[in-house]
Amino acid sequence: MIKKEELEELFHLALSNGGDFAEVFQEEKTTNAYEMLNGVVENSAKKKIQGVSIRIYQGLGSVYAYTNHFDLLQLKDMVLTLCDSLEQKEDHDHSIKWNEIRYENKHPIHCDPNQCDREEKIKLLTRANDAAFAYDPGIQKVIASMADEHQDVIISNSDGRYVKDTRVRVRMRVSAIAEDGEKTQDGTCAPGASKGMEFFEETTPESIGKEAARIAKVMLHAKECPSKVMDVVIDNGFGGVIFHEACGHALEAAAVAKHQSVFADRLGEKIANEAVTAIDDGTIPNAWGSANVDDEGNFTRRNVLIENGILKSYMIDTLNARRMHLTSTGSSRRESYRYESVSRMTNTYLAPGPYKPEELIAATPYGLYAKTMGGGSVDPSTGDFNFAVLEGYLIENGKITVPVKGATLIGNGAKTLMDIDMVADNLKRAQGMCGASSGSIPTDVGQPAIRVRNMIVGGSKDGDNHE
Amino acid sequence: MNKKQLFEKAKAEGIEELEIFESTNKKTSLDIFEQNVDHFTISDTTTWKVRGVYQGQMGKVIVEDGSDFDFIIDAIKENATAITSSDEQEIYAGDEHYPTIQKRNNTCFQASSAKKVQLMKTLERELLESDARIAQVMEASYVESCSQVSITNSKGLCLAKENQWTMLGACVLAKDKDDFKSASEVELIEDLDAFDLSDFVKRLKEKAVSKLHAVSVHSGHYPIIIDRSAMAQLLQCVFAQFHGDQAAKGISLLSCALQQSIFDEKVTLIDDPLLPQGVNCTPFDDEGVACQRKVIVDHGVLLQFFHNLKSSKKMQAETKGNGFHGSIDYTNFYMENGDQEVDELIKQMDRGIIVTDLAGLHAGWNAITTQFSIQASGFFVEHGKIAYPINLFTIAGNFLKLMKQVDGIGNDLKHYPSGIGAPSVLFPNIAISGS
Repeated sequence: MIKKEELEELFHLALSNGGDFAEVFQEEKTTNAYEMLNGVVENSAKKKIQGVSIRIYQGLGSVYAYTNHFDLLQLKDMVLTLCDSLEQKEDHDHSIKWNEIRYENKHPIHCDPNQCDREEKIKLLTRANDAAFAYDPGIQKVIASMADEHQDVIISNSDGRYVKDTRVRVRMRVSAIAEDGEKTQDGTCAPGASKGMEFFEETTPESIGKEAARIAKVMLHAKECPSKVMDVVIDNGFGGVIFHEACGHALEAAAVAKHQSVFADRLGEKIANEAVTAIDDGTIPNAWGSANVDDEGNFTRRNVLIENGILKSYMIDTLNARRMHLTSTGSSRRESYRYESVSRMTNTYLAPGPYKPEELIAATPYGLYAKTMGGGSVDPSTGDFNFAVLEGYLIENGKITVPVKGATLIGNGAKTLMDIDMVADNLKRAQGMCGASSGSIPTDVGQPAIRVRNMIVGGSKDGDNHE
Repeated sequence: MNKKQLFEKAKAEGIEELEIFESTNKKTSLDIFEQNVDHFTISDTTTWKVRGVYQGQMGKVIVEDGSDFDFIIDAIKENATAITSSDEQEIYAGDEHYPTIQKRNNTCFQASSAKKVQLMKTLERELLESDARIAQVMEASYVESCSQVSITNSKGLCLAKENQWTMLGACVLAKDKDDFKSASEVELIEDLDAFDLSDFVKRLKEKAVSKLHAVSVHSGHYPIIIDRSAMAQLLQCVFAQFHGDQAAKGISLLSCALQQSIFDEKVTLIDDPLLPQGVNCTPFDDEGVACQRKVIVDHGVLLQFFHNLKSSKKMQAETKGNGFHGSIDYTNFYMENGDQEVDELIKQMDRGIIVTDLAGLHAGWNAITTQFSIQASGFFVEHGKIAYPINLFTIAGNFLKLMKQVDGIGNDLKHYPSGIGAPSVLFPNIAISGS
């Protein structure tokens, strides 16, 4: 790791050659991954990355260098190359007064995965594997994998900020494959948290294996989903991916600052149905997308994005804050030192509403009940989004009837936000990986069950005449 | 990294065979926004992937500090002893001959930064001026990458290669009245002076404005042309079905389909590491195996899978050098050209849909079943001609089934920076969900 005196040298160099702000991000991350197929350990791998990045701002522009050679001379060379590319060569004040930030860790862990015996981890995978097979004889293959990571970061900048954080995460993924000689269908369950091995005491491997097997089994004999426009009840947990795609990305400063989002310049305006209140909260203790500080060293926050349909805040990093004449919301994130940090989501969810989940179903004469969701994507400039339904059922006459498979829901974010007309009271969060310009990062999505009117449901069966 | 010392230490620690895969990468990228340098990034990184046979199993570790031998050796031992699979694994002694890859003369690396900045500023300006409806150039970026790879192992193998590429791309927002659409384009280049900027501008502008005022399409079944770029995305998804390890484990639905007709006879799929215009040309894979051209599907018949050393042993097949990234990957994977002009395909279809863009393939595609339902946009065709743009619909079906009947293949094969190449393909029937 780089000493403070060396950091000062780098900052001096950057600020005396045109930069008006400089930041050094140091990282060391160890990842362990294990994969089991049908109870046999196929893969076990360890990875340790360690590197440093230097970022220099000049006005609204930024220059960035990263390397995993911790050599001061090379780092200085990189700073000079970066400064060469700056258009203004002004000499800025470069006296550094260190302000080392100390805080109470909001995400303590009890059992560090790095210290946990490998055999203990394999035993957990075996338990998940066995539970999936035990669920039903139709389960023919089970792939169970587990990964843990331990990331130490030191973030320092020319304002004198010096802050450290440690992020520890664990996640298990089980995919069960059901076959009946004719058809094949898989089901997946993949929970995780910013926790140590204690996570598996609360969320047992058995529950993960069983859930994956349950989805595979139910969906094996599901019919093809009709393709048509219908009302959709999206259940809690990973259902929150709808908000993540339909709106979340378009509220990130990376898109907003340059007017590349449909929600740019709309603070204080009604952008969603009044039933909608949405929050991004990086402070939730031990949640998957949480951290004490963001990747620019600012404390994470609970940001209310939309309150009763009114746009209240964006998610903002320090560079885009300059362009927007606003301040950072502690939302800047990156996969590793190889990525320039930018505004991203942390744990994003819709607040609970007044209804019971069953009231949403009962109020829907015909539609789709999307119980388990997969991932999705969005074009933030137009708001057109999609996401996949992994486990769906038809709603007929206000009742859940047959399972249907192969559905993708598509829509336009601005319109969909207005079409969320009922929100239930059963808030739950679920874990995902979100990919964007600053890499792949852990994020929580979440919501209670919601009803969305008139969504395009993409299936492969012709629509029938229900309206 | 002092490799000799690591080999000695590993041997002393009971690691029977050892291999060091070293990769070094230097990259420069720049983005222009509103005629200013918005981002400029340089990097210099080295990564070591080390694997070793310990007590009959292969342990692997990836590190960025090449001097921490204790960490490397402990990790190899720990991972090797965790594995309970009986699959045979080996460190490769090498092939007698390796193909020669013709070295390309990429002159971009010699050009000054100022020249690159100027080129990208010109590109941004010309895109903006190309049409009043181009409201913003959201991104204009330039990337150059140079990497060196070497493989050294205890069986005496010592190989090295270098790879350079330069890519230029832009994304624009087209706007007309209340409607806006985005489009992007990337191109691999080898000479800044030879880059046809006006052609790039014209293509991207047309791609963006042609999407404006797209309407919805009625749900139903339609004949469909999947254009070459969308087809390349689908081929990338279906690759998992040809993955030797997935086949060996019985996870691929094609596991037992060797020598069987799996697709329409018009379809031929090839992986060619020596393809002259390919982006992933390479003489050897990450395990040191010589790379060879291979026909995966010949006129609809499945001839072979993609293998690394492990999967080839398991399936008693020959490995032709597809062991990459610790698993299996393609090099330059493409569908062979057909014999019809795209205009002829459109005429033949008469009434139907052309899909030009797909979104969310990571979610809407089921890798196990090849069942898909994917957000799409494109054009509606009437009376054998493109009539109007359409968007916000899905195409859905099962890809392995879809490929069983192909009505025509275009002669417009294009190789994309992903390493996948495809022509446009006409299918008789696909489920569309729209309004």
